[in-house]
Amino acid sequence: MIRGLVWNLRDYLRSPFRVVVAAVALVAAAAAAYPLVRVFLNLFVVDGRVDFSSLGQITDVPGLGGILWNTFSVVIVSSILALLAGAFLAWLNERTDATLGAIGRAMPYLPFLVPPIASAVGWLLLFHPTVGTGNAFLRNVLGHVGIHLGHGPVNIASWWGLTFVLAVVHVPYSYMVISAGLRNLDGALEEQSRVCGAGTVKTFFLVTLPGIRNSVGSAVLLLVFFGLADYSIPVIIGTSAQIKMLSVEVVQLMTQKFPPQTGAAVSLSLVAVVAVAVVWVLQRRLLSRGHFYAIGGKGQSSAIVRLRGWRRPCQAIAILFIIVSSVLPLVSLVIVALTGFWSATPAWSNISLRTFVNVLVNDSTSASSIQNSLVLAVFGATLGVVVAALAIEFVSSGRRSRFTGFVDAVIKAPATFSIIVVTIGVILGFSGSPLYLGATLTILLIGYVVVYLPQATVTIESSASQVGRELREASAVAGSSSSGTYLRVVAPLVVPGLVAGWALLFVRMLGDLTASVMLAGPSTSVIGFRILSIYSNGSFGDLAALTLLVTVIATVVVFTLLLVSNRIGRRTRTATSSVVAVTGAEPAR
Amino acid sequence: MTIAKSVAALGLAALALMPLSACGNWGGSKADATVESVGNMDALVNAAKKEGSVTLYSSSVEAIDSAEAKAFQAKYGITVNIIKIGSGELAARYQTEASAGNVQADVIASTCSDAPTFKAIVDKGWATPAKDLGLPALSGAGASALAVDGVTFKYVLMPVAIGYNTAMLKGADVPKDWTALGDPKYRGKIVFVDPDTSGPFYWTFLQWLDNTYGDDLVRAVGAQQLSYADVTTARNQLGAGQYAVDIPTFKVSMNSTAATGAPVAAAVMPKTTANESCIGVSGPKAPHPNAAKLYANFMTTPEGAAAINSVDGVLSPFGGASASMGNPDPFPTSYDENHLRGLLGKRK
Amino acid sequence: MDTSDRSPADVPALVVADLKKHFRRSGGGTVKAIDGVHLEIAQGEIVVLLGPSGCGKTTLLRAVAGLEQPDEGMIRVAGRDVFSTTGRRVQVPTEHRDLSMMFQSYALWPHMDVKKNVAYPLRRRGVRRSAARAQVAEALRRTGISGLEDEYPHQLSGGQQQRVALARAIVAESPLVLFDEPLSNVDAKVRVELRSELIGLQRKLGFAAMYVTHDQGEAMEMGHRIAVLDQGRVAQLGSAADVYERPATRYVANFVGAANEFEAKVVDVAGESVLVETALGKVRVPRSNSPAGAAAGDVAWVMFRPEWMSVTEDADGARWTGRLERLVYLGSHAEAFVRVGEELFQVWADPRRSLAPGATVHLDVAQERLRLVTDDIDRVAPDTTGEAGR
Repeated sequence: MIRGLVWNLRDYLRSPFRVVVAAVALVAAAAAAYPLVRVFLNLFVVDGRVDFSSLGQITDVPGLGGILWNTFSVVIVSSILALLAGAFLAWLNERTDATLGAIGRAMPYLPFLVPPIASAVGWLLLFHPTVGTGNAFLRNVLGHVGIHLGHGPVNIASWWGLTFVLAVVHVPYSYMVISAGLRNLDGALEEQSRVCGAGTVKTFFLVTLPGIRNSVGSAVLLLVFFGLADYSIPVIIGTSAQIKMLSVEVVQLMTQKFPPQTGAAVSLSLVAVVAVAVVWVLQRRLLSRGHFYAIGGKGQSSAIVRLRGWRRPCQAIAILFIIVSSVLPLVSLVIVALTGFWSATPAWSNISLRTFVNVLVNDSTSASSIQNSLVLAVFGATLGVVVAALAIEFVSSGRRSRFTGFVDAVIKAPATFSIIVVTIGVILGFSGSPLYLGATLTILLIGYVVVYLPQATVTIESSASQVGRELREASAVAGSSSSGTYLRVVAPLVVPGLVAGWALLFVRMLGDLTASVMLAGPSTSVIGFRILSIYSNGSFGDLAALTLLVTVIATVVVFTLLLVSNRIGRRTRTATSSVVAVTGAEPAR
Repeated sequence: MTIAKSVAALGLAALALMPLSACGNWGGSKADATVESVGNMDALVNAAKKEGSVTLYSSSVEAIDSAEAKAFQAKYGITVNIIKIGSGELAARYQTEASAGNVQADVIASTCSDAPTFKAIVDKGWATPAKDLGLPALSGAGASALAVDGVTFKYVLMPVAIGYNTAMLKGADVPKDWTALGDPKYRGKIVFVDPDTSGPFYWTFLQWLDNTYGDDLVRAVGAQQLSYADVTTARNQLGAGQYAVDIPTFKVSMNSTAATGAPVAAAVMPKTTANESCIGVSGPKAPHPNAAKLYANFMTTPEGAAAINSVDGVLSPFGGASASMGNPDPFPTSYDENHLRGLLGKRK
Repeated sequence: MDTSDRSPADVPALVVADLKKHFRRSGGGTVKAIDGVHLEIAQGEIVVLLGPSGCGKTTLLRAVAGLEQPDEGMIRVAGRDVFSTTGRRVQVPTEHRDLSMMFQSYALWPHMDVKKNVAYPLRRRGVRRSAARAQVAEALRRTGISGLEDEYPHQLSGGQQQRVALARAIVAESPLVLFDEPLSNVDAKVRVELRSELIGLQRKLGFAAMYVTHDQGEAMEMGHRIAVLDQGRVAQLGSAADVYERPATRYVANFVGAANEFEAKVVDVAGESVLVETALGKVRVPRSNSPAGAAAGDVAWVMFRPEWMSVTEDADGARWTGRLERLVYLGSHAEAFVRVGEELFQVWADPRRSLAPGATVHLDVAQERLRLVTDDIDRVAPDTTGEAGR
């Protein structure tokens, strides 16, 4: 047995390609594990001894109770809202005659096209109680019917506003997951229920809902995870509403305090990790109890519910919701960027592209931030995709063993922790001794790759898993070496996944806020970092312009690459649903 | 085929971005120069020129530092990298970097009221006390520019001003001095930068108002149905015509908002106080210690002062300011929050 | 075994000796996927590996291809050791074994058109593009799909895809072609068609083949010889007739064709026959049809095929008498289920005979057709070709 193993290793080393693949996979695993290890060492090892007292530093956080209350109340309520809205939209689109068409198909892409920071700023500009453009408009309308208000009627800078924006931004996630669940649920189950005499509503609650509870569980997990991890909405809207959220406090502990309150920051962010773990356990418990439907593979028909008179209104509500939630904030950004400053009544006479010239040319910090972000996103996405592709090759090509399974799990481990924890790990691991990469573009690149690699891995995996084992074996039998097999058989088939993965990484890195705010230095400013600095002491016109630029670049890149990916995929008949390819990243496993 | 093309495209993209990235900061670099005495000016200039650039972390207004940097660059041909950053973050970042042995900033410019930071960085040996820099202008009468026990010196004063909406207030309606704020015609039209969320500067300013004009004025202002907002929102609300008056503010920041086309302006009161910004100069561990010293010295020279004075709404403590900027009172060093809160009638 | 003094034509296309491969099961314990297999395939010979799923036939095929790694033993392809644990260890990677293989899933590369798919094994073996083109055209012609050169796999029907896979397997003219249940994914009619074409092709090109299937009809049609695999071991290796007429073990008897069997205890071994005691009384079985070394006290089964027995109404000379339970009309014959004591026998009857369920019938089977089988692979009757127990 041992002799065989040694012999296998020798066999392995004989193929330079496989050695490279293994080396890349191991380096990727080490890069993913190292920051997390540093976080835990920092927290649990004091002077070489295991010591849990660091967890106590969480009590140093001023106003801890308030922060936790704010965070959990906002995340729980916004998750419920997002779940209901997403489930309703998904049900309409998948199970009724009120389908959403192209808008429904575009929905899952929205978070990638419109970065949360753009939504957050857009909503604030719209519904600030006094200066909000949308509020001014509503007041004007109300004034015509004799209701005169000094401010409002909507106040986005409030607990409800924060909760609402968080929910709206995350609806696409629940929509995506529940849609997939409904698509996979055999319509015959619902038809059977109807045959047995249950009406539309009864069938929904008695059959459909239990049938997709697996998806509902995943959606809840996803919503809670992203809700706790999001930084942009809490920092923009939460700060205006004077509601401090966990993510904002953690970032402040890391960046506004000297020395950085790492212990307190990590303990606090572990609260979020534990919360996600609790949801995960609950989800597992609930789902393992009782059976859920085994899902047939073929010949599924979905039972379409005819809404009759309700059809048009439902469709209208759904489409209005999607447009309002994604387009409206962008409209306000466009107005502010074009008129140059934020005002309840836009100064239409003032329209120009001055703010864009500002951020692209005049303001050297903004210009260099854009440049840095573009460079980092291109390099980071390329590096990430190459590393992810090779790591997947390592895990999936050879014989599956405990070791490859372990490597796979380690590479994906950062996804289980929030971006904040991983970023703190990157700071601990790379900024000081022995590498001293603090405030360099290198640490940003490392941080981005470590933080977003799991997402790229999942994206590419879904496409690599379609390359059946026998396709590789047929190539080997035909006399091709492992590198030849990879280049001639695997890679061409995975290209759609690689392209989609690249687009995902590029967009994530370009618009990143959470990792950037902690990793970027003043001399290595990136877009996310710059947006926050403009927000705290600059012109909203420039802020809107910069945010719009990110949105436009993201949209153009995603659409172009998805088009390319689909074209390649169609020719080779290997196209997955690109939606899944791009957005299939499930953070917590 | 497809693969080859994709790879080629990615490669080309990477190549195209290479020149861009070349100017990025991908790794730390250090110069190993000795600190020259300012007494030997020629040697200092030569050493500084050899270093070629100087990095400034500044929480001050960008226009001020740009003007100063431009003049410095014109005179010595040394590039100034201005890095704009909030004062709290500046303090944390500078100290974090320095304690990791990785000083990035040659010079820092921050509010003089952040005395703990200026003291700390001198105590830890990362920065040289201003009084020990040997800058000629800081001796004798110039010593009045020193602050925080001589560890730093003031380089710019921003007189506190009253911002107003130019479409709403014209001619006689524009406040002429701080006492005008008690006038009932401004009731409900004033947005006040919230001292509870925007930092101690705003309490301290109220303290100056109280010290100078007495409790009655502060009480009268508090009775004007003030609306509280953070700095940026307040300025935007002013521009949007939501309010007619925005206090306290600075002419230099109001000018930048006006430049976006918003109908706003700021009036500097004849008697007022000023926000003071101070300079810290990094020691020999900084990347460009000589250029740092030269830059600090430049601020104290007539040419440097002129550059600062050329920015509308601020003045240099080293003379040459236009008379319109007046001679602001020193900024109070402490405030009584409860007393002021009571006068304003502001709840926590 | 030294092969150097043999003429090239004598060199077997494949020799497998004492091959073993164990898997560790996730819940502990090991599965013996290949358990000491010996096998030799001559040039131009098709050997079919037959057995139910899990018998190790695919693992054995994949081990020959180098896609699975055996624990020990020897594999020699066309006189060259490609795997060996005896002496100097040899382990030639798949791509250097110079084999061809046809996969169950076709395994056509979806991003390559037909000509690229078929040319692939040639190009990887260093054949020039121009030379490959002619060979590809020939292979396509032989498999009857000329004209599909520029199609992509997804544009083809299942049968056409199958032919492309076949063309790819034969194009390089490897001495040994491996077939992993290649016909299990096409519908019955196409399957029958392809089978005979494949045989024709093999006769013309003369390659040796190892052919895995679980379909006994296919095995009998395709194989010069059939290796029936039982839990990682070759239970019997022989011609279709050997395996059917003279099954080596009870397992083979039941897997290949239908079998009547009932338990027996050896009472006496005398002369040319073995006397066994059964629930239906004493039965005499020819010695040549009984396990080697059968001795009194051994437990075995008396076995015979349904068509070896006849139904008579005449009680004279009949071996057993029973009651007809059910009669199934199948066109070419009728299948009668007859209860004798506790045993239910399956027997072929004349379909035109009118037999009513419940009727008393008499059964007869010639003594020389009775066989005595056991579960023990190592103890088989002398008249089976006997390579299995070697």
